[in-house]
Amino acid sequence: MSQASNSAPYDMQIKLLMIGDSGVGKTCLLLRYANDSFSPTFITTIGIDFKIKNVDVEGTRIKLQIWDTAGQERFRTITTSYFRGAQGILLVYDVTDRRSFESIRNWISQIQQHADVHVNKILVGNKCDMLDEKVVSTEEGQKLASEFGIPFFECSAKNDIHVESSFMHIAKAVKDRLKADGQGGPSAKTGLNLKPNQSGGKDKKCC
Amino acid sequence: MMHASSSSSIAPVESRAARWRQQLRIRPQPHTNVVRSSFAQLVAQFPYPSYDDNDGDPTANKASPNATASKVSELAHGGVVPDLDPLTALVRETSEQQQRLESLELKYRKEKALRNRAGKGGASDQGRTLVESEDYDENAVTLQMIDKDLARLPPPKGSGQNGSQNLAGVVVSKDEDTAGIPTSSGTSDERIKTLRRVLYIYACAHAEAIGYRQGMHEIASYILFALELDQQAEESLVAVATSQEQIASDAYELLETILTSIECVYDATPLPGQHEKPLEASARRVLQGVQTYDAALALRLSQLGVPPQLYLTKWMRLMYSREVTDVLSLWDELFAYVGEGSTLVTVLEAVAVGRLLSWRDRICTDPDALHFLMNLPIETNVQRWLDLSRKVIHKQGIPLPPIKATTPVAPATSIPAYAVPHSAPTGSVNSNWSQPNASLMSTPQRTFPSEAGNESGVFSVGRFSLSAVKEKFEQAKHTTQSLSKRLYDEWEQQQHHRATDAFERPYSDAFPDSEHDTPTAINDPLTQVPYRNDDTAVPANVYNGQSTPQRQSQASPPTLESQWASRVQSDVHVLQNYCMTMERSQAHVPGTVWEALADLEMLRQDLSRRAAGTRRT
Repeated sequence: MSQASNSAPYDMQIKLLMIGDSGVGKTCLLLRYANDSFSPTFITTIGIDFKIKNVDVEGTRIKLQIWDTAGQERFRTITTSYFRGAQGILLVYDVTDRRSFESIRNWISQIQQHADVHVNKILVGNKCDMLDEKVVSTEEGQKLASEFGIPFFECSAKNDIHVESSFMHIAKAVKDRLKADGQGGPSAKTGLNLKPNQSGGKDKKCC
Repeated sequence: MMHASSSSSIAPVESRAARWRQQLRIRPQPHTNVVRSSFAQLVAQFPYPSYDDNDGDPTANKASPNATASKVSELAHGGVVPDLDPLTALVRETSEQQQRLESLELKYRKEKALRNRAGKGGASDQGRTLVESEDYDENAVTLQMIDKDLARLPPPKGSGQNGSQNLAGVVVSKDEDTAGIPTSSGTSDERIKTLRRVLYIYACAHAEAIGYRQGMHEIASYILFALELDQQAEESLVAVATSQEQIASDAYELLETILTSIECVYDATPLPGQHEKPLEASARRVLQGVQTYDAALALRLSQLGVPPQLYLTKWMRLMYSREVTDVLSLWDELFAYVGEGSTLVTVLEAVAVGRLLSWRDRICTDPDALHFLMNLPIETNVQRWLDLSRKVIHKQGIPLPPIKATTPVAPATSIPAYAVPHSAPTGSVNSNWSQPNASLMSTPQRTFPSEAGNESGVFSVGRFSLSAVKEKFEQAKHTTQSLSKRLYDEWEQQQHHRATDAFERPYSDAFPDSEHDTPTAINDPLTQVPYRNDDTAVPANVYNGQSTPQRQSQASPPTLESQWASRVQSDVHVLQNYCMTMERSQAHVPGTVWEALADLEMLRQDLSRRAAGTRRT
């Protein structure tokens, strides 16, 4: 809000939110993206974590504020209050954990309840490097993404597969939307968002 | 350690756990057996969910539900994943699949449970079936969550020069492990088992409250760590091994005491009859605490645009265990503060205030203060932080030096030279007045009003003009309509008066009482309203530093700048009071008002600096 100084070294600030079940690797994805690091001994996120990454998307300097939430969704404490300000949401599941994939529907209904109508979404299946333990097929992921008309990526924070492209994809989508809205932000327009499946076909398979 | 509580104890305190028990007012049990048996009873009362046939081995039960699920889903798909389906078919299929999956899995678990029971054949197993089938799923989910968190538990840090080495090897994840399946040595296994048992029992025994939440596992880990260190020390003296059961029982007792007292920071639902979540209330008290000492810092924190619980959650839920290198020593201190009006929660809140105060320079000057706050480094100067916290707990004054700019950025906030909490006697403050921050200002040069042009209010000061300030002031006035009628009426009167005075009337008329001893703002009836009968309000003397130029003006005739500085100061007061009142009544203070406040404050500082400069020359 007011922390943006006048001499901002960026043209646009975008707030992204990462949600998904506990243990799917949200923090690992964020650390891979923001710090380019990976540790197998990660720790449980308590409350919410926050990282900043400055990127250049098609000549627009964007300051990405990425909020990494705790996955203990049954007791959403601060998550719901934070949905509101988000302009882009990464829905993350673990391809080796079917439950986390099934929870995506619940997470989407959470978004519908609490987030802005126009918020950009992206579906991310993490841990795609673990081929032996993979239980959610790429096709299933793609199908779910198509059902909701959102882009889909399979990633691996560990092997750095499609992590950068996922974040860049949603950053670009938010940027385009805000530019189209005249930078009006999430609440500038109240009309319905009828962009069906704009990039849902662009599934990225890994490995 | 240095603040061990002085409650009457029977035996001299020797172990850390015993000291903690005393500090946390755990009633001394005449017979140790009582504790043990009560924990044992709980263990009997809450067996692990029956799908879990491998007691204490998270690896086994973690894998099974997933494996089952995927097997079931393959069945549902007829072994083949269909390629392209119409949307409706997909939706139906998914929901059907989910139903089938759930029923199959339940059946699977029940069968497995029956098999287990038949195998064990214990008499205590009878009568448990009903209870389990009722809250079966809930407990299973809880246990899974605990396992997931334990698999990611970092080893405890600090305090164990001799012992931490082998104890710390709690969970050594495999290199390729991302699912968090623990592979552990013998000791670690034991440790995980104990934690799992203790946490699961806690979750079941407190299911009606909040049960298990992420973060509790780290608290439990450090409690166990303390007990393990105690045990090691004891065993080096006496060759008697403490049983793992006794350790679990002791850990449970401490965990229960600690968690039930800090339950509110884990709770996400408002208590009946309250509109505020307990954690929000806590965060609000922390912000109020900061406000009591350091208005500038409080203002800065409010301007970050995020509620304080975003950074406070982790600190408080984990009792700062991720913020220091030596957790047990920190907890020694924290627990020593408990008592005499301080609960563990108020201690945690005061320590949060202390921590924010200890980082005030950085928070107030860093342009990315939010990022900094959310990623605070591990504390290296714990003593300074705790010194500040202790003063907050004991409501002592804290001398706050001027804010040092750690990064070059224009200060947007006021810097009180010396702040004391409201309860401190005013008299003692005056002697501690120091010259207000003329030196620290790195404010860019600004154009100042020529004496001729000032009445029109068109001159600009830096990036804002007086007319803009006036406009923002009007906005603030507009928002006050949600205040109480009385305050509103007073505000209206004052506002009318002020608006005319400050911005339209000539200075000489506008400032009739500049020669008085007390600063105008203190005499202002409106200013005093929010302070009445309220301990948490900003003490007026927080702004003492700001009134110094006025006092100086007694000696020489007031300059134009000092008159204006005082006037703006009283405006700042009014706005601050307004914001405080709004915050206290949980009303929303628009960002523009905060901005106006910061702008006014900046203007005031500039003016008083100017005034000081004019007088000297």
